Amino acid sequence: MAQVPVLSPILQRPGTARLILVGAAALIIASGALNLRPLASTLRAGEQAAPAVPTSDVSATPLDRSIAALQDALRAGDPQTLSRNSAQLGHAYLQKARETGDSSYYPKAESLFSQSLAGDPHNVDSLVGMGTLALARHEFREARQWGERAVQAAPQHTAAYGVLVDAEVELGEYESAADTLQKMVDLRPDLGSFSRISYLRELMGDRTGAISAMQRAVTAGSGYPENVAWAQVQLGNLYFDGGNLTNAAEAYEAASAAAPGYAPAMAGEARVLAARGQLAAAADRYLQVVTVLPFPEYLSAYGEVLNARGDQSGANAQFATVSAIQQLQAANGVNTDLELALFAADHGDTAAINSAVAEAKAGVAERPSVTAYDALAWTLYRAGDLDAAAAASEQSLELGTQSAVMHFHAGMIASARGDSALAITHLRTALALNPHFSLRYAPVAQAELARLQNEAAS
Amino acid sequence: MINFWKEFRRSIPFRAILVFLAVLAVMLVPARPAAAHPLGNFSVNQYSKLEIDPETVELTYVLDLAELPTVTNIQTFDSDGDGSLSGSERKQLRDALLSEISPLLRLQAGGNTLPLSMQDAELVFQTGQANLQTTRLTAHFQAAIPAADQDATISFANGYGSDRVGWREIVVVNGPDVAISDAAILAADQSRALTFYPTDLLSSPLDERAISLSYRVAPGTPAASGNSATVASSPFDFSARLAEIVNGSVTSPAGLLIALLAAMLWGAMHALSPGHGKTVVGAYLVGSRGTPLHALFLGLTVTITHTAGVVALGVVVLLASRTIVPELFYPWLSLVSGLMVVLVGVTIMRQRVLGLRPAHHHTHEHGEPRHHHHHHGGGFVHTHDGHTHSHLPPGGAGDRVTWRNLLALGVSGGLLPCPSALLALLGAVALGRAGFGLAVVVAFSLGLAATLTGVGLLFLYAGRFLENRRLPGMTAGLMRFAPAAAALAVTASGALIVARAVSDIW
Repeated sequence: MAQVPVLSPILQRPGTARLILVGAAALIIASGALNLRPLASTLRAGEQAAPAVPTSDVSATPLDRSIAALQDALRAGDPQTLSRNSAQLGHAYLQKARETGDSSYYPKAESLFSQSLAGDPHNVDSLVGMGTLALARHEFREARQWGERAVQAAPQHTAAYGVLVDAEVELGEYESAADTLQKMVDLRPDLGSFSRISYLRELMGDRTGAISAMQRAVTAGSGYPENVAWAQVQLGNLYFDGGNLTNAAEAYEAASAAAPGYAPAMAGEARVLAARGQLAAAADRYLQVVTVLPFPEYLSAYGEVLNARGDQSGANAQFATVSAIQQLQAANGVNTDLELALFAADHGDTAAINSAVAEAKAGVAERPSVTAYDALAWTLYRAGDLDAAAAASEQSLELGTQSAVMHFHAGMIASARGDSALAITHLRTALALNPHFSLRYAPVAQAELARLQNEAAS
Repeated sequence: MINFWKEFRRSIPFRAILVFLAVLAVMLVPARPAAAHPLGNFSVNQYSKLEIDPETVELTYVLDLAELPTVTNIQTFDSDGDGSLSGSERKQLRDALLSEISPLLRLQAGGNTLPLSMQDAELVFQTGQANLQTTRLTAHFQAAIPAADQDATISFANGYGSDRVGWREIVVVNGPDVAISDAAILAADQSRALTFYPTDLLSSPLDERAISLSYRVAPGTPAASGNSATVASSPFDFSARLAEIVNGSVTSPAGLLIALLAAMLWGAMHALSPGHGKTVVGAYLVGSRGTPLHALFLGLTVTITHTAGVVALGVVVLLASRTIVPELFYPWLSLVSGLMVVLVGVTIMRQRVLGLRPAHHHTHEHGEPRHHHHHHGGGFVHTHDGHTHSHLPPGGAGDRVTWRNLLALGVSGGLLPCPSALLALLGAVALGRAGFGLAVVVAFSLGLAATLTGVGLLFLYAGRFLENRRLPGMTAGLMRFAPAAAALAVTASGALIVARAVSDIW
């Protein structure tokens, strides 16, 4: 197999780039952060005999069957296989959590990985599992350590490199991240490595390269249909962010076909519907999504659609739910969620905006990625700290990321600072990249651009 | 007793206990209600219990909505915009939920759909994580089984929220005079009507969506007991009862008091189940010159140790279960407990059988004028005011009760936290009622201790009763060996606990 360059040749330059998590982490972050603090792992009081008499009408998937088999094997209690089976069951639980959004699997998976590592400190699957969970908790230094230990334990194991790559890019170790990713893809060009390459290229502003890498990720496939559907959703997002609604819709539909009922795919479909102005259909679709997976990004997108339809109270119900998520995370000690900081900056009062700034600052300290700088820039702008906002915005664009949202933020900040020329450039770029980038802000961008251009003309 | 107490107060173990309790108190105060909803903050959990009677089926349906769907519902039904639901708004929400759910609950007998008529329904909010509310909807339905379809197959399916994350449980119980052909279908009520969600590592959340069973009318068949937490459950199902106490259905001061008394009673009954050191306590006191105060002290030690143990394990579970699996503690605690018992057993065996303990003389040691202890190095006879008689049991032991032994026994009896007490505490914490949970645990432990103390007292008074009787020679001869046998029994029980713990650990 020919070597796959991580970056398209033109982009192979060092930088201080950081990228946010790729791969399975997407779902894990969103749902894991909601409920990662563990529950009392209940005591084995003898009541756990599987009853299994009533039936679930959902036919068991291969994953369900392998979970049941591993549970049985572990119940049998063979010390020889304990470590390996615990690790495998832990990963099966992680996959189950990805598919269902059921976060109760995370603490169980974690306990299984610990149990496995107690028996065999070098079990690579468990090291990778622990790393994945650390990433989900935004504990990137810990995650890097797990990744390093995993690579050391099994230098031929691609998943080990995956954890390390994700942690390194979050921690701003861009060059070593690219090196690690190169090793990873050389070992095995699979869905995990291609999707990470795609993300890196996207952040570098190479959308074409990102799309082709994600297509290869889809083609590489996976034993779990959900993984393929995930990659297809990412592909759809790449098309959408480039303003290509047709291809985006196609990719989302392919994802839905690969994994029927897959909420992120439905959310993608809803997004396309909203961008096409079919608000009623978009609202119906989003309702389906948020009933199954009430994640902040879906809830606020749904709220925007309801808002655009004039259903203020319906929109408020969604926004209140997002605030509740923020409350839950704060109760769990998580105060660095960028998505939530952006939400609070857009929907909150002065106090909420100020705490959003604090949250975004903490987020940048924890994960100095371009996305984090973008969130910081926007919250600072909303708080009225324009100079700091401009500095953060500049940093968010230093990789040349072709993101309509980031350019919109930069444009609004420049406009507020009176730099009309810069504002016009950014706003034009934003609208050229994707005129549908936001139901709420695309019209704002257009109006502001028109105003600035009129001013310049007169 | 006074000397005994003085001696004890100066002792290191006593100070250690004080420090431990102080640390626990500190840890408990800032303990935030960290326990999240077991199946995630957006889970939709459902429980259906069918009770099959000869001519009717009663369905208890419980819906437990986690924080996020509850927030959305409250926002949607808060028509006056005050941020919470008034009585009528709550009624609207209840009816809206029921109108969505009811058509999706399908009960059939002999292939014919039975219309379910709703008897009553109640919707309450409970405090969940981050001071957000969770919803608990309970509804009772009834359906008559047409004569033609009796003795037939009954099937039930729940199609509500089929794509939501959540626990789905269906429980079947038979009413009187009804026999269910497949006994396995009478599976245990795992979540106790959604008050506990077992989350052990090897179980997936229940996902029971449909059930089918055949039944026949069999006069004389007793109704199923237990299993339910919405209808009266068996008073002997301690953990289910504790669950009810902490899950918030009890709120009035009188109710709380009764709940605490009940917790104490259950603790007392729980102590009667095997493995709580009753034999050990009894055997120790039989051979020693125990007094009621000793028994009381023993009870106190058990209470403190058990409460502290439950709270400590609870704190570990709440704060550290990410890295520590609490199950792992149990065998180790058993081991420590067993080793302590063995130690006590061996000590008193030495005293009683081998007579290695040097003779000494002490008077009114325990502040009780009745007891003049004249120890004669393991001799079995002593003098009271000039006349010699046999003690309890005839020819009773010569060793005195030492606080070390008592403490060791008390600690070993209370060291192993009862899972039901721990679960009650965790449940209370999850509901933001940590203080009350603690009170429940203390009450439970007091009950536990009361039983052990009672057993001790029983032995003592039985002994005194025997003391005043003349026993036939042979029995008296056998009784002579009772203290030694008791010591052996203590040692053997300890060894058994150790062996079991060791086999659990390795």
